Amino acid sequence: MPRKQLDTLTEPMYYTLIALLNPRCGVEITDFVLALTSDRVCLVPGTLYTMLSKFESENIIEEVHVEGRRRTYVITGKGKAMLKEEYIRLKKMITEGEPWLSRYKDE
Amino acid sequence: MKKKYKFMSFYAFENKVLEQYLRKMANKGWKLVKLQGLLKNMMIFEKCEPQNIYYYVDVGTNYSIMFPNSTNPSQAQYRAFLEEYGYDFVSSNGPIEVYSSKEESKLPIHEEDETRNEELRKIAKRELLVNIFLPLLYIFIGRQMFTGAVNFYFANIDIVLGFFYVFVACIWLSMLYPYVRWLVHKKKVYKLRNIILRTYLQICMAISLTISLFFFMNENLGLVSILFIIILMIVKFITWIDERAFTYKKKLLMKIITLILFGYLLFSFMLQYTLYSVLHQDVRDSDKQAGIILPSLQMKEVTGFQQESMFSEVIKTYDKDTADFTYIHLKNTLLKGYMKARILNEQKYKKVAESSGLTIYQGNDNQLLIAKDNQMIVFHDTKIKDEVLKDIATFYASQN
Repeated sequence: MPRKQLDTLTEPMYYTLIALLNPRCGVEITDFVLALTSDRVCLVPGTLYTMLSKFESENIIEEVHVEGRRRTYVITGKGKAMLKEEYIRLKKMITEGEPWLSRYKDE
Repeated sequence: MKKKYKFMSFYAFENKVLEQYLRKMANKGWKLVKLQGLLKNMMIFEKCEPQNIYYYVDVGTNYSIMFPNSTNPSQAQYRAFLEEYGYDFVSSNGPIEVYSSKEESKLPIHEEDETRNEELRKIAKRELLVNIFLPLLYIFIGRQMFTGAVNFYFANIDIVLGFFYVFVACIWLSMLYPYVRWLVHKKKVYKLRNIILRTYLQICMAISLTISLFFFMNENLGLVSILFIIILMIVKFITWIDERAFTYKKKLLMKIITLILFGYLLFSFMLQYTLYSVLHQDVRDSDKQAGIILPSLQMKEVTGFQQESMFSEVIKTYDKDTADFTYIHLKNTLLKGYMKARILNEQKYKKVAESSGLTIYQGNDNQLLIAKDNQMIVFHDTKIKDEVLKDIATFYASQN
C-alpha cells in the first residue's frame, strides 16, 4: 500500500527539520528547538521519536552516526527541498495576509 | 538480596497511578526490578535504602502479543532514545514500560493533550481485544490437558468440566471489566486504594475457586494435583522461552519454533475436539446401540459404568442367573482399530469363528469375546460358554 506523502509540515516537524540542517541527536534537537523558540516549542521524546522514525522511513532525514546507543541524524536532499518549499509557503502566507493583518503588528 | 513479589493488576491506562505506587514503594525501601507474568501482573521488588526515585510509565502498542517480555529492535531503539533524556529503562511487560530517574525530569515522555488521550483510548481498545482472545487460547490449551487427564483418571467429566468453565469465566470477566469501565465511563481511573482492593478480590476469587475445584475432584485429588503441577511447569517453560530465548537476534529461528509449537497446539486441540464430540454422541446413543446383547444374557444389574479412556467405554455387569460379562463399546474414532487390537492383545485372544460380521475369540483363561463392529462382549465365566454358543446359533437362525 503506498504511503501518503507529507504535504504540509506541522510546527514541531518544521523546527525538527531546521534543527537537523546540522547533524544532531535526540536531546540536541530538543535543546536546539527550545533555545531557538525561547521555550515556546517543546519536543517531548515520545512525540519526537515517532516523528523521526516517520521522517526516516520517508527518506527525509538519514542516520549519519551511531555512537554507542546514540543515533545522530541529518536532513537529506529531499528533506531540504521540503523545508525550502515550506519556507516559501510560510513567507507567501505572511505576504498575502500583510494588507489585512498589518494593523495588529503593534499589539 | 531480599525480594518481594507483588501481584498487582495495573492496566495500561492506569499509568499515573502506577507511577505513584512505584514511587511510594521506593520511599519505603523497595526498588522495582522486574515486571513479569503471562497475565502481566507480577512485580518483583528488591530491598534497598529508602530513596526518592521518580518513575515514568510509558504505554504503547509496539510489543509482541505472544511474548510480551521480549524485546524487538525498534523497542530497543526507543529505549535508547529515551535514555538520552535521562530516562533509565527498568522493565516492561508489553504494554507497560517503566522508566526511572533519580531527579525529576524537566520533559515528560508524552504531552498530556487530546491526541495523547485518543492514543490511550486506542491502546486500551487493543489491550481489551488482546485480553479477550489471548485467554481463549489458554482456555483451549488448559481444557485440552484437563479433559485428557480427567478422562484418564475416571472422574465425572461433566461436573468437573462445567466447573472449570465457570472458574475460567469468572477470572476472565474480572480481568476484562476494568477496560470496559474505563472505555465506557469517560476515562475514570480507579484510585490506588481501589486498585489494591481489586487485586485482592481477584486473588481471593482465584484461590477460592481453585480450592472448590479441588473439592469437586476429591476422588482424584492427588492425581489431578500432579496434572496441575505439569500445567504450571509448561506455563513456566513458555515464560522461560519468552524471557531468555526469544531475543531479536534469533528472531527467525524463534518464529519457526513458535509456529511449530502453535501448529501442534492447534492440531492437538482439533484432534481433541473431534474425539470429544464423537464421544458425547456415543454416550447418548449407547443404550440404543446394545446391538449384540443376547436374549439369555439380558442385563439384570449394572455394577459399574466406566469411561475407560477417551476412546472406549466399558460397562461391567453381573447377572445373578447366568454369569458376569463385560460390555465394551469402542468410540468411532481414528484410534478405533488400535484400541480393538489392544483389547484383543491383552488376554491373547485367538479367533475361533467368524460369520456375517460377528467374530468369536477365545482368550487365555478360557474367556470368550464376541465382537461385532465397535461392540464387544467378554464372558468371564467359562461354564456358560456352550450355552452362549447355542444362543448365538439360535440368534442367527432367527436372523436368517
